[in-house]
Amino acid sequence: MTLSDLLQRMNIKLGEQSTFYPEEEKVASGINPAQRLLCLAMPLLLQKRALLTIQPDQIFTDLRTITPTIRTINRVVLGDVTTSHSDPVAWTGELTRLLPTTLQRLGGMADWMEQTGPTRKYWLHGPYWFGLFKRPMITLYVTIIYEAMPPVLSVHELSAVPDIPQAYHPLIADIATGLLLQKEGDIEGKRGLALIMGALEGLKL
Amino acid sequence: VTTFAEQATRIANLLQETPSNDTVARYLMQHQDELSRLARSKYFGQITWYQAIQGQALYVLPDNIIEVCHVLYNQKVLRYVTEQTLDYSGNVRSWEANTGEPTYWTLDNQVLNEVRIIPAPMRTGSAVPSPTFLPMYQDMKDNLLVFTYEDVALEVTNVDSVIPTLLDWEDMLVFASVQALALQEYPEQNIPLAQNCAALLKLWMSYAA
Repeated sequence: MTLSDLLQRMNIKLGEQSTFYPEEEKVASGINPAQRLLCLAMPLLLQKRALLTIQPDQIFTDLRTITPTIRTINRVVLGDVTTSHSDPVAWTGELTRLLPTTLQRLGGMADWMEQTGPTRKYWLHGPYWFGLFKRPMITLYVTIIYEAMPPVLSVHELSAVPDIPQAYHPLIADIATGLLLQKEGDIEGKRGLALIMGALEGLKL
Repeated sequence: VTTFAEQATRIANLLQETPSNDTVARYLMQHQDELSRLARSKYFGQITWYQAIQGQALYVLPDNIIEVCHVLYNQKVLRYVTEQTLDYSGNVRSWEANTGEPTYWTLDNQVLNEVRIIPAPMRTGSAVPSPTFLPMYQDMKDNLLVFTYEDVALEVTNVDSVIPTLLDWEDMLVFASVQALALQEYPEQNIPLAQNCAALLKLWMSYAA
C-alpha cells in the first residue's frame, strides 16, 4: 500500500474533510506516528542489521552515525552476518554472539578500557554509545541486529511504501485516523482512542 | 532529523491554534520541560574528554550534567569516594594537598558541576588531536574521560533547533506537551484533549519502557 493509498483510506474514515485535515497533517501527525507506534508495539515488524567496522583504537561508536533508525539492540555478532552466506574465522571468533555488559560491571576492572584481546562483550552508554570489550588488536567487523524505526514518509513522495509488512498497512490508516481525531474534542477523541486500541488489539500475541 | 518547527506544528494542530510568536514560545518552554523530564531519567548519555592539568584537582563539567557515572584517568577507572571517607581513612588526612596518580573522584561537597580528582594529577596530558584516537581525536594518555548523562533541553532554543531524541520520543514529547498546554488556565483550556493525550502518552510509554 503506497502513501497515496493510505491517505485515501484516511480520507474515507475522516469523511473527506480535506480542509480540516490537510495532507501534510495526515502524514506528519497521523501516518508517521502510527507506523512508529506499530513498530513499538510489535518490534518484529521491523528488524534490521548494520555492519560496523571497528578499528583497534576505536574505543566507542556513536550508533546514530551508523544508522539513524536504530532503537534497541537485540543481538551483536562478531563478523559479517548481513548476507546469506558468512564465513566463520576461528582465530578471531567470528560469527560468535557478543554478550552485553555494563559500564558498572566493566568498572570492576580498573584497566578495562586498555585491555586488548579476543572481543567477547559489548557495552552501551545511553541508547547510542556502543563499545567493545576487549578492544580488538586488528580491525574487526561487527553486525548489530536491532529493532528499527520505520523511515519517515513525506507528502512529497506519495508513491513511497511503509517499511513494514503489507498486512499491517491498514492498521497504519486506522491508528493515524485515531490520532487525527484527537483534536476534534471529547467524543471524537475517545472514538479515536478506541480506533487505536482496536488496531493494536492482539498485536503482542 | 526533526526540528522544533515540525513539533510546534503538530502541537498547534492538536490544540487547534495558529502558531504565533507567543504560542510557539509557550510550546517551546513546555517542550523543554518535557525534554528535561526525559533527561532526568538518564536518557541522554554523553562521553566527554577533558585535558588533565598537573596539580589541578577540580574540573568543571558543563551546566547540563544530570549525573556523572564513570570517570577514567589515563584509561584507568577512578573510584567514587566521599570526602568523609577520605577524611577518616587514616593515612591520607592531608589528601587535598597530595598529588600523585589519580585514584578517586568525587562530587561530594563540591561546587555544582565540578568534579574533584584525588590526588591531583602529576602530569599534564597532551591536548594535541590525532586522527588515530577514534572517535574523539584526543589523546587519552594522562587525560580524563568522563561518562555522564546530560540534559539537552536547553539546546532546543528556537524553531530551527534539532530535537535530539529518537522519533518515538518525539511523539511522546508532543503528547506530553499538548497535555500540559491544554490544562493551562487559558480561555482555550481543553481538558478532554489533555485527558486523551495522557492516554496516548501512557500507551506509547507502555511499549517503549
